[in-house]
Amino acid sequence: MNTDIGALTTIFTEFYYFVCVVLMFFIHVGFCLYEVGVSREKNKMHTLMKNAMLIPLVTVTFFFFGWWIYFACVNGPGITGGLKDARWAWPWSEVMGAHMGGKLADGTLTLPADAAIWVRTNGVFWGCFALFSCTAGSILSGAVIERIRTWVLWIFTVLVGSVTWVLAAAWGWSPDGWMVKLLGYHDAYAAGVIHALCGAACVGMLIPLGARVGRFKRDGTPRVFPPRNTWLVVIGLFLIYAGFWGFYASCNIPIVDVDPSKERVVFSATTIYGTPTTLSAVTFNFLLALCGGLLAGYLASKGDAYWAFSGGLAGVIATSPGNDLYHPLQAFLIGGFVVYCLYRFHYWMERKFKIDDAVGAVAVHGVGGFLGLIVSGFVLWGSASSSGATPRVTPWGQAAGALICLALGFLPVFFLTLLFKKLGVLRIPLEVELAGLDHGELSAEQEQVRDLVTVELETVRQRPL
Amino acid sequence: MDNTGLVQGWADNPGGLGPLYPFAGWEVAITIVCVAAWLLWTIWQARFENATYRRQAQELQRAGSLTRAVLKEDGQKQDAT
Repeated sequence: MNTDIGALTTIFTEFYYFVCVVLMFFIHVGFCLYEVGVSREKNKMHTLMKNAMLIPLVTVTFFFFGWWIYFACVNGPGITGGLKDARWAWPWSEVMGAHMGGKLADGTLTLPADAAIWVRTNGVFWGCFALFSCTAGSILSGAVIERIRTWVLWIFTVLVGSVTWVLAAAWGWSPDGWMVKLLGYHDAYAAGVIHALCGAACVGMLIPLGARVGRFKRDGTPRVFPPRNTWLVVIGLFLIYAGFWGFYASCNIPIVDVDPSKERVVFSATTIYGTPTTLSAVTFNFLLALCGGLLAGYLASKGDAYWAFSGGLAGVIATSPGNDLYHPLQAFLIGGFVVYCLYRFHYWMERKFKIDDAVGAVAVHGVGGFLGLIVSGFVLWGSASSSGATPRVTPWGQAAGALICLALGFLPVFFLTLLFKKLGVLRIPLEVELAGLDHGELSAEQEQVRDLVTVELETVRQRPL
Repeated sequence: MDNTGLVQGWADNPGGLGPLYPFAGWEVAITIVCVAAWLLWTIWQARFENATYRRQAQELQRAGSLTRAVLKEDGQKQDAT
């Protein structure tokens, strides 16, 4: 901040992430519309509130401990070292609030080299991560609509949104993460650490939770629960696309001198690993992957709107490990291939295991992210995984990373779901499920309307119009 | 005490200023209050929701209530169509 270029770099970075946060909010508008559109009339208000309220719950818990986990747990702990000192991410740290970068009041805080940069970007960088966390929560929310108790779902969203995905990010989505250092794991736009992990967490909830009443016939074949409002679903998915631009942009660091020799100055955007990339690369690959996914989703589903648009999203997810490096047409082909596979997987899983995934979250996020990582291991074989001295990308490194993400997503959620089931608090009572989650509110509303009509009729009787 | 913040003016070097928020130095206490609020909110929600479902299930178990509720849902669908 002492030079013009330093000031411009800092203020630009601050503003860049600020805009990303705003864009990423569209993801949540999209998720709310999407879930409400898919849910039945009798459940729509509870579905809306279930999704919307996870935003404050995940955000505040990410402030309490999520941000600290990301910096402190890069070594495991216990794999490549112990917990790292990350006092700037403690919720009581003075740089977790408005600060001008002057002398720190407690005098003991260890900050990165340029305190002025950190105090200005801590909040906006934190905000981007907090919205990634809310996205993780929203992925879980959609899969289990219309039968899970809301407070139970909110506990899972905090577990995944503020703990497990953050742990995966510390391990595999940071240049200091042990998965990057040991495996050469490369996941530039978080296909594994968010999407595959959340898809696996959905499976962990869905198995013990069971299907909605009537979802499967006696012979085991599934019944279709058509979306209540197709327009809400489609608009929701388009808004998620829009928010995803913010997601992608916030996965980059916008302006960094990337020349390691420091003999020249070479400014570039970088990935979170510090590897150079360009926003043009992101734009090319995002759009081509979206196209590949849309076309494959349309083809596989024979023109079904829901799967075509979900396919677009899944195409972007599938190419996310390598969209900093892929050629756009590679992104197009990978997006299309993975979407075709995950569409088949969704219906195979439904028929084979009777898993009622109301929004296709397991396929779109879980399989999309997982297969995307596997493919990236072959396509990016030999590429540098980070800017540091880390192993190069390999198929086995990416596969191991993908499996770790799946395990970290599935295991904690599965065992906690079993516990809630044992306690008898996992699922709403059968009567409430049949009558609808909004039954109580609707009955009260109808009572109020009846009262009003009675009063109006009485008024008319006493004083004819 | 006649103020709650560390910044009483902007005449000095702004880059030398530290926390701008009031009650600097009380961050740990504020954190404890907020964590407690989050935990209590979660406990309250769990108890409220469980009690609501229990009551609704009992009401719906009364003769005919569940059938009426389900048929009402069907009626809403037809209206929407």
